[in-house]
Amino acid sequence: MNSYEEELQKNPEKGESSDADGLDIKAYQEVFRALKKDPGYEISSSFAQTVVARMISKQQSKSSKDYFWFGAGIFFLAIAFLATILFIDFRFDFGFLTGMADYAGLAVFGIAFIAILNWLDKRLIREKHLQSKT
Amino acid sequence: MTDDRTLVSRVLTGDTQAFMLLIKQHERLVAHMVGRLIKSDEDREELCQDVFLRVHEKLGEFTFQSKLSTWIATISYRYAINHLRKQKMLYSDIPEEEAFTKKFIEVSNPETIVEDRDMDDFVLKLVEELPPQYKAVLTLYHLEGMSYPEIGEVTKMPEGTVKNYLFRARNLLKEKVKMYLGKEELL
Repeated sequence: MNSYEEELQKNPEKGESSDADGLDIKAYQEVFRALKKDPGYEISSSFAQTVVARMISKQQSKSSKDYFWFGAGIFFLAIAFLATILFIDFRFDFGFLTGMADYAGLAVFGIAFIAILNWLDKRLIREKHLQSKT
Repeated sequence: MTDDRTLVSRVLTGDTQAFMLLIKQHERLVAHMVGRLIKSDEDREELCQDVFLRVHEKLGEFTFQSKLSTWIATISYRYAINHLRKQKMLYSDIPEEEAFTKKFIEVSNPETIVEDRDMDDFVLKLVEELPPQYKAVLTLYHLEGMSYPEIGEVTKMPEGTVKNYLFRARNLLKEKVKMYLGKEELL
């Protein structure tokens, strides 16, 4: 940077007028004054409303897109599932459940037994545990 | 005036009124940045809108490491520069100092000088002829009153470069104004 020019820029930058005479100083003063002026471009009075309207419309379009891709995802997943079943010739096999068919009574007892254990746990053991805490 | 943190948290909860307030508080800054760098009136308005849409989209990521205005100015600057690049307008490194200075000062249209009796308008027209980096630095410093580090943050230029660009831009403008004043004195 040219130190002479740098020195000339100092006073108008501070907003001070210089006693020194000369075209350079006068020109700098004009430049600094003009640079503080608005560039002349002003945005419309309804600018904020327009931006908000665009934002809302963007959010709505994004939300519709999300639903679309969600639906498309489920659809293609189902297609892939069906295609896989067809290609590997998959057969549903209930396995051990077919063997359990002869022991239906045992299965019912098992379910009832677990349900009773849970009920006892809730009513007796947990209540006692809570009382001892308080 | 609502403080930045309160305003941002309100916008993040989906308060549209708060977002409108944020726009009102910063529209002048965005208009200055975009207005200085972009010449087309149609593009300016749309670009200013895009800047605020981006602000809304990214507000959750704003961590208050800088002032909200500095962050918004950064987005405005990037959008304007990207727009210039997309339009294939001349956005490159600053042209070689000596050659550019010579061209800038020598190319003068006497008719324009005679027509532009208002010196401020004349200087503002000259600013339009400067490279975008110069225009950005001048705008942020003189219109927005930003400090050198803040301008550096917005433009991603080192502080020394900011000072240098500011000095060179003013110097170029002064040379042209000096020519104008010299001619006026002769009349």
